[in-house]
Amino acid sequence: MRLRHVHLPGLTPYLRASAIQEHLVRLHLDHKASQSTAPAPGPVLLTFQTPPTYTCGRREVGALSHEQKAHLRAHRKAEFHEALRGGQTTFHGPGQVTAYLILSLREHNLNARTHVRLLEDSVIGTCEGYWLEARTTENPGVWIGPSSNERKLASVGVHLRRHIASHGVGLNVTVKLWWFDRIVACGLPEKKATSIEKEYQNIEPDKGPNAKALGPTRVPGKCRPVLQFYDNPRVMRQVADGLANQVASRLSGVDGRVENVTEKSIRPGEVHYP
Amino acid sequence: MAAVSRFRYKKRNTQKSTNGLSSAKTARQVPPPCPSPISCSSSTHSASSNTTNVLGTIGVSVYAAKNLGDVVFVELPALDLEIKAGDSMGAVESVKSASDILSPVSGKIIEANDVLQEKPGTINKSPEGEGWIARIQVKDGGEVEKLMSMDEYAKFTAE
Repeated sequence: MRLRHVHLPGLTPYLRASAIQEHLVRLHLDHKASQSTAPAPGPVLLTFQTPPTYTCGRREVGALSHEQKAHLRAHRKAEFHEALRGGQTTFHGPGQVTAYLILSLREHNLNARTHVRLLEDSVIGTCEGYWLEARTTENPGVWIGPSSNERKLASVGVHLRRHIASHGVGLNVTVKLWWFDRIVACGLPEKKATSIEKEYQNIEPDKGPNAKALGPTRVPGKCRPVLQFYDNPRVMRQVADGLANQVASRLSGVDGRVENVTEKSIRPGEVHYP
Repeated sequence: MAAVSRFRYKKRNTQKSTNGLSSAKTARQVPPPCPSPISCSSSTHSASSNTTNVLGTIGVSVYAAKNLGDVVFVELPALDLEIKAGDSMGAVESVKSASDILSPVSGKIIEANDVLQEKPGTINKSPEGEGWIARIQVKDGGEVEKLMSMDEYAKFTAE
């Protein structure tokens, strides 16, 4: 079995991505209901960027006041949607690789906890490829920096239904971080958000006379991967591919390979969303 | 032109190192497959053969509570909600993952455990006791009989 990776280029409206995700979940549930008629869809990773969108988690569904929603919509600069995932309010937008992993937990010997752990580890592995030392803390998500000054690089939120997992991670690559300052991201008021671009600047080895000393020495003799942040589509694709490889290498039952497929092959026909 | 092709080569290299650094499969402990997290224990009021009066208690099994991890939020079903077997009647949220609770039987919700709204962690402490989620007036007693017994469930989860 291979992990199928669908990367949607450009900006995908949140509801459109949700509709594709729902279709995939439906395929899994149909397969569960009648194994003989509906073929097993296998694991799919859906990566995309949305226009600026705030979403709240399951426990806040219906709990936000009119004013709060109006604040999040920011005079129509952003959208607001309720999601049935775990976790609290977060932001998705241009420059963030939003990755939905739709799979059957049982097919891969996972449970609710190990699935979240797998997502976090995959993000950490992806960051390692760029020589960024990310880690998990007592708070969920993926963090970077010393514990006195932790910055959140990726958020995690998962929805489970009959052991079919959906939703996943939001990994900040070049996203404008002030979007996160407008909310208490994931219920942690003290913490700041960060992005790969920002962390990259902190350790950019091309600055000053001590350029060589500044670069990390974890992989001797190897060049640090180049990320061309000015070319957003390319960087997003690069990070999304890295994440897909990391997920595939960690999923049991998957031979570690990623099959890149187009949206059409997973969802024949038009996507209808409100 | 040379520069371009060199860049392409470099890019390929880049991707390789992205995966290569930690693509080695980490030896993970393989947990047993998680069965349906919902258990339904039925307590028949008075005459057990009277199917119109079967009350069921829906909750999370000990096994599933362990698999879920610390529960931080419980979405309880609304009272008098009429549901069919397999319908979603609420959710349990553990760290960063929200799991739907599906009703194992058809019927009407007559009571929800409000304690869980204040103390969702009760589900971890006593999943099959104080951490019950809802009581349901079962519509069809036959559905209850089709569910796994405690022994069968223990066997199923031990696999």
